Amino acid sequence: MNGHSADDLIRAALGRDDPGAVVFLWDRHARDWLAFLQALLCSRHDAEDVLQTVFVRIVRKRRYLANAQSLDSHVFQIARNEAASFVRLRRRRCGGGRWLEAAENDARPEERAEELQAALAALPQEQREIVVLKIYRDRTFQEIGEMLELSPNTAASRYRYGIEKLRAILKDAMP
Amino acid sequence: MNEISRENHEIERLLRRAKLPEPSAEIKERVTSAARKAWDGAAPDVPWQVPIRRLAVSAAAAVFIVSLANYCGDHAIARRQSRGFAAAMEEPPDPGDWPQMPYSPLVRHLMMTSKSSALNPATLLEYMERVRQILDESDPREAPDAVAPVEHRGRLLPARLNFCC
Repeated sequence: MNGHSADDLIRAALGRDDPGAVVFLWDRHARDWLAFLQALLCSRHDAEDVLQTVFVRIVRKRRYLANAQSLDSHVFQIARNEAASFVRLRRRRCGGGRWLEAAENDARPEERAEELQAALAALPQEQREIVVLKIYRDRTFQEIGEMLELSPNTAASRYRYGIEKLRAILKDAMP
Repeated sequence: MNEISRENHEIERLLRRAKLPEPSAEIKERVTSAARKAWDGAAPDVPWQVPIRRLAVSAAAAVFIVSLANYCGDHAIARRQSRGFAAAMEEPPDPGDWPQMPYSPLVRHLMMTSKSSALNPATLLEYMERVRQILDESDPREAPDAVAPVEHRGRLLPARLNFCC
């Protein structure tokens, strides 16, 4: 099943007021949304809290989302707004807890994860979210552009700037 | 250029040495049950309700601002009137008591001239009474109490609207 037909099924379930849509949404989108929220908040715990609020907002706006052209972009916008409200309330922009895990074959996994987290946290938010979706969710620039309502070229250039900044930050960590 | 591209690939490889942890079953349960509770608990937002709600909030804010402006206007007018009456009741100082100043004869002359040409309050009241009589005679339908009280003349909106016959 490709992405668009899965979204059509979800929209149909939302439209006929079927609570099963929640599970469809989770199975299809939760990983992307959680990754995006982690990129915005740099915290796994905060991202999980905001993800819960995002799901509740989706449920409340289900009639509207059932007719929306692009479910993804609307939900990413909801996630962005909820993350902004969360940051305003907690007065904490980025950081707080571990949100990356090092691969098992790394010699010093804890240090590596912290180093990469700190480097990603130093990026501007709009570059960080694209780097995270590209590297950790294997999304194409086309898909990222559709999710975030950007052109693929904009997504690619933000990614490139992000990687160049990371190159400067992680110069010493490179083999 | 190739060097930069190679370094960028190295950075990507380095970033891929870490990964985002998968969402746990516990968080899935927590989020989906909260969503289901919201599904059962409240009616969904209907798209047309959103602008109506915004309009209602804007109207309430406008009414509040206009009421506040009316209140402040009434308060300011009342204060100015009371200050005006108090000033009218005060006797003007006698120019003879003034300390010596340059051109004092000229100033005294001007004061006396203006004092003599000032309106007498009794004459003014009599004149107003006459004008009111003329107006009453010319338009008998207009009752004198139809004139809005002075303290309400600063209102942006009338205090009472007579919609009915």
